[in-house]
Amino acid sequence: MANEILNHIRRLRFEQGEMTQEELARRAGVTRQTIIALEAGRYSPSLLLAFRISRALHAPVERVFEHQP
Amino acid sequence: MSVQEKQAWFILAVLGVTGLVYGSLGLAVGFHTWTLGTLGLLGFVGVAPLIGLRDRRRGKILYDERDLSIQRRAGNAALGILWLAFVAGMMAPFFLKGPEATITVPVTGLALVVCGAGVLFYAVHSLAIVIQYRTGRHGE
Repeated sequence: MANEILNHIRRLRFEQGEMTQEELARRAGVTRQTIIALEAGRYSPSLLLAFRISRALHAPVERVFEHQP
Repeated sequence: MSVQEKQAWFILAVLGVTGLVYGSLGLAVGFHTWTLGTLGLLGFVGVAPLIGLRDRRRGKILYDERDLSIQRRAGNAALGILWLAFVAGMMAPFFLKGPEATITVPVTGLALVVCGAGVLFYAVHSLAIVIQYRTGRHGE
């Protein structure tokens, strides 16, 4: 099943002073493996997690995630 | 690799090694009652929760929404398979022997059935966890 929700976490992470996956995971309250899965497109987060990640990346949620029908 | 995936791989390894030892011993000396003692190796499944204990003590996040989602689905899969096995086990005597028949069940046979149910549950549960981590899940 194709993932309809794309994310720009990796690019935004590097724009935030090359934040590590570990650091982003700590800020978002998840494991590093979940950040890896998100960046690889193997997981779509819940709404709450999407907002947490967006806040950690200092970017609006629609800039971090996009829906591709 | 997440803690939950490590635990699942560990459990699968214990089940595999136990089956290998039991099967090898049985083929070598015959499947006697005492060869069932090798199934005691299954007790090492109880060690699985210790995996990740050090990280837990360091205050690291071990389980998040993705891990819980995977665990929930794996539990559903394992319970589903166990239910099918339960129904099949209940219905088999009716079809094989008829509803009025009486069956003598050896003690070792009864123990093997119960043990087998546990092994089936852990095997399906752990396999489901590993498959979900490897192939990726896309949330709820």
